[in-house]
Amino acid sequence: MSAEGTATVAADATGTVPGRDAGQPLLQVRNVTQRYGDKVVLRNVDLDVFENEYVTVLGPSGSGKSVLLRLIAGFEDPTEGEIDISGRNVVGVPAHLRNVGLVFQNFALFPHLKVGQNIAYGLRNRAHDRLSAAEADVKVEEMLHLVGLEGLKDRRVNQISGGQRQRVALARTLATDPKIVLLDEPLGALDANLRASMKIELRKLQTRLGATFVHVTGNEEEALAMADRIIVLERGRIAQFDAPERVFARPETAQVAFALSRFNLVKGRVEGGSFVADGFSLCLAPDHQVLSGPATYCVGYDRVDVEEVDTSLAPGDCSIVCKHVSHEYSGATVTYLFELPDGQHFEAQYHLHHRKAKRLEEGAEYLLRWPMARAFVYPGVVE
Amino acid sequence: MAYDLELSHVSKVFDNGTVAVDDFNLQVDKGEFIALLGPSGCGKTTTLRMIGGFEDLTKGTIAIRGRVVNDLSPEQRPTSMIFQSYALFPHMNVRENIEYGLRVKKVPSKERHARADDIMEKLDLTGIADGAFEGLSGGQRQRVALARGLVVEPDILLLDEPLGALDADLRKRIQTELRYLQKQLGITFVFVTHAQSEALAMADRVVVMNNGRVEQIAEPEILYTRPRTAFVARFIGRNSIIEGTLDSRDGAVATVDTEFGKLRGHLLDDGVVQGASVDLVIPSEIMELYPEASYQDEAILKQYSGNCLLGSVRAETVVGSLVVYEVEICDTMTVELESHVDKYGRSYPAGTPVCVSWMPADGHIVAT
Amino acid sequence: MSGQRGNWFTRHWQLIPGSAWMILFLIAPLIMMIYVSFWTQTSFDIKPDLTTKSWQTFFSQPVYYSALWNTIRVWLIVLVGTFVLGVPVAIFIGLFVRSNTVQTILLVLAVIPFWTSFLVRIVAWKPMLGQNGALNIILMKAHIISEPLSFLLYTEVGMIIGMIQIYLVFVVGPVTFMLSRIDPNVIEAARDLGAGTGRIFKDILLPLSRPGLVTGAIFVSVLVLGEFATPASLSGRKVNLLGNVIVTQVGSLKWAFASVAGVVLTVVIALVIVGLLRITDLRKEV
Repeated sequence: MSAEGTATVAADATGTVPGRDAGQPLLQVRNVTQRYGDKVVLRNVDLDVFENEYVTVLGPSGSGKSVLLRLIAGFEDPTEGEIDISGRNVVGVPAHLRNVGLVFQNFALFPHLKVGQNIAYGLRNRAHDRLSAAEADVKVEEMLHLVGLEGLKDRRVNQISGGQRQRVALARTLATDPKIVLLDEPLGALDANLRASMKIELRKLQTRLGATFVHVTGNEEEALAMADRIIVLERGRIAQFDAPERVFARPETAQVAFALSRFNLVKGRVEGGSFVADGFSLCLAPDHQVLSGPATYCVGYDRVDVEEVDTSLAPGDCSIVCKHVSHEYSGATVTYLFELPDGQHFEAQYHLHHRKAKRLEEGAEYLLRWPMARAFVYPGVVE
Repeated sequence: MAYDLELSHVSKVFDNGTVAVDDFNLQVDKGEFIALLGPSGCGKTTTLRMIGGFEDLTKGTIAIRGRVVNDLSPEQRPTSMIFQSYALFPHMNVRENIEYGLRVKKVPSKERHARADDIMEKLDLTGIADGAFEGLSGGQRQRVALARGLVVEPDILLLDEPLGALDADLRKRIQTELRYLQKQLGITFVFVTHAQSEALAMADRVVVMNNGRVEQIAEPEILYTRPRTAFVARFIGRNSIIEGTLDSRDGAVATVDTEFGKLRGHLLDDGVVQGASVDLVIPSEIMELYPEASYQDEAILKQYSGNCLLGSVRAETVVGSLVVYEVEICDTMTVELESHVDKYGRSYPAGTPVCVSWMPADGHIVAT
Repeated sequence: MSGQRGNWFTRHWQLIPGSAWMILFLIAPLIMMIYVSFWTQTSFDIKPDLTTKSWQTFFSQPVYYSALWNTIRVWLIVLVGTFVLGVPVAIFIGLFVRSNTVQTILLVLAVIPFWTSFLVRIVAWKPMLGQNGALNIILMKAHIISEPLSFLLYTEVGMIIGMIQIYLVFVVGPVTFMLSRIDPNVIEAARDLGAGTGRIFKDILLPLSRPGLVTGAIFVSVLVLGEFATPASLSGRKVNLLGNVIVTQVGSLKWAFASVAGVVLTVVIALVIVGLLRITDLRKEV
């Protein structure tokens, strides 16, 4: 199946991809630049987010993703540019008047208050529509039910588990009915098992509430699995902003491919229409041969087949013979690790539901091959 | 030939009477990468600390390369421990940290520098050798800790939750790096983790522990595809588990009576008799999805010996080239099935009625 | 508006009350004291005519400059004494007691001497250290001595015993705090790399608790150098420290001369603190 086919699967799965034809965007970031002294943290960022959308912002630490979130939330104002919410410029409007909710990475619960008091805090203290104690109580119960924490209202926040704290933080934010919910690495402080289940729950919650979620993360799996659209940030710039299946099928830059952690990235250069590195060369599709100079060769782990050295190639295949170092088993997949002639690493990933695992001998040489059409070349070298 | 590391009948009872480790047996060959895996409080860290000499044994012996080390203190044992917090010496720079073990052993300064340089080059630390480690990233700190432990050339390297203090997005990368490093050095590594993904990915063999006891010692593949106990079946992998009673058996294939009817799986344990309560364990990777109509298809039913759970797709999630289906069976159970987007060549959107099938040889029956 | 903006006043107004307090009650009196030390003192009167006579007297008469040497000698003895006794206690509480509650209880016990007033404490020493005091009775019953020791009370020894007992807690507290912050794995890591107890003390514990040691030393030094009450009561006025000189001179209204002693004392304390701070950069390490 082709890359286009991949996109269809996901589009069917999530319904129509919002964002193209949903009319007026709920959140618009217009040419925003943020500087701290001489340091430019965000550079000419432009983006539209529509109602009901779940957008993830993916980037390594230092890419400016948390700053973007703080600008939308109103904890900082941009050096240049404009931020519109529901068509109104909110630059200069303080955080508590923007109707935006932020869930902090470390949850930032009030340690001296009980669970119920934490959730009620925003309702009892906001500038407008302040609720009475009784009204707030009703809302708190509703929120506890929503996040599945019934009965924990009178617990202290240090008496509940990490996952429960995460839900309290979420409930505290959602209680004020924000138009936009901003989440700063919401799953980062949870352990692996909890993370998997919270991932599904967050998405369900968003669908049920019909709110717009902007979720910042450093974890590509979270970004790919949860989003209607992914923003990939690279040193303060938007490198790509698209549906996850499209970002995955064709990463715009080598940094995007790197951020997705699902691609072999080989350093070398393009010379005379082929990609060469120290002691080997890799084939290129004709539309990539126009480049020249230092370059990064990119092919997905799961596109690589491992064969015996004497296997004959099909037309349109690229190949390289290299040494098998070891393998990593993850149950659903096995990743075979190889060493290229110049010492760079190369990986082939077999999904066991799709391809049978192989018994390979550590230290032996194998032929790796992949369809030429699945390989990309980017100018420059990623670190 | 002596094992690189051998634990025989090792037990640990704490002063307050808690049994932390109960009759632990393990033989490790040179160059093996061993994971101790289990939930917190299962005794895995205590076991690691006993190997390193930080806890006394209540019973049993620990031998390293044939020599019993029970009475040796940590400073006398040929092991190096990498702590979860890294435990770097905060008042020393990177090089001083790495050279500390050699300085204590009174290695002449010239040789000390040479050995430190050598290990720093292997671990890609040369550029930061003389800096303080205040500005270093988690990954760099971990490499400094590794270098400090490796430079004294231990027989065995012990690692306590080596990826535990790292950011989630760094873990996968460091995991692969550690695996490369271990293969390159050929030293025996023993590490403790509570994350099955780390254990399965890095280890040659995994020791699954629960309540101080060893549940199963096996290669990752075996652990995943042939769980021996109900605990392992629940703790490892993404298995769907259906409870039932043993109906009949025909060699290695047996039939289990369940709320979804009679289902078939593989039974290794000869001691399980008819009527015994058992778990039928179906790994997520071996399940196949068919449109509901194939329930009428004799050929398919025959191929799977009638193993078909009728249900409806609740969600289809695409993660890169993977696709995860959640299927609800009779409103009472949800099974999760992970596949590759290229596998079926079609979509099963939410609401599609489906049949979830598996080959009897791939499902496992374990006594409960 | 972000917290980074605004003029000087909006950014620094928090400093004003504290600064005003310090200028009014510390800087101004200090300058005044230096000024007064150059005034002319007669038997009954003091005039703001500038002279160095009081300074000359201080450094030419043995009774005064010996007070300076006494002060420094007593300070060094007490400092060493508190460290020899205090550091092992701190190691015990900070490293071997791992329960926070027990740690707190033990530290509170160390502060108990401060629960009683200074006078009660001094009076209580007399039945302890006197000729017929508890210490002498115990030593004689144990047949360690046959005659009661007479040098325990109303001597320099008695005074030093008293001072060490009072100031011990100022060493135990900060050192315990620093030691208890050391990651136990760091000590285990050193053992794992082959270091024995002595090396761990020298390579790990000492450097990592240095800020605590220096803080303790500063506390003890400042308090001991300014002492006048303990010597007055426990040494039976046999030992004269700079503090006692100042008290006596102020008592006889010799303001200029008291100021000279005050300036000298301030300079000594300042030098000691600067010296101690050179050992470690507290700002960096704490």
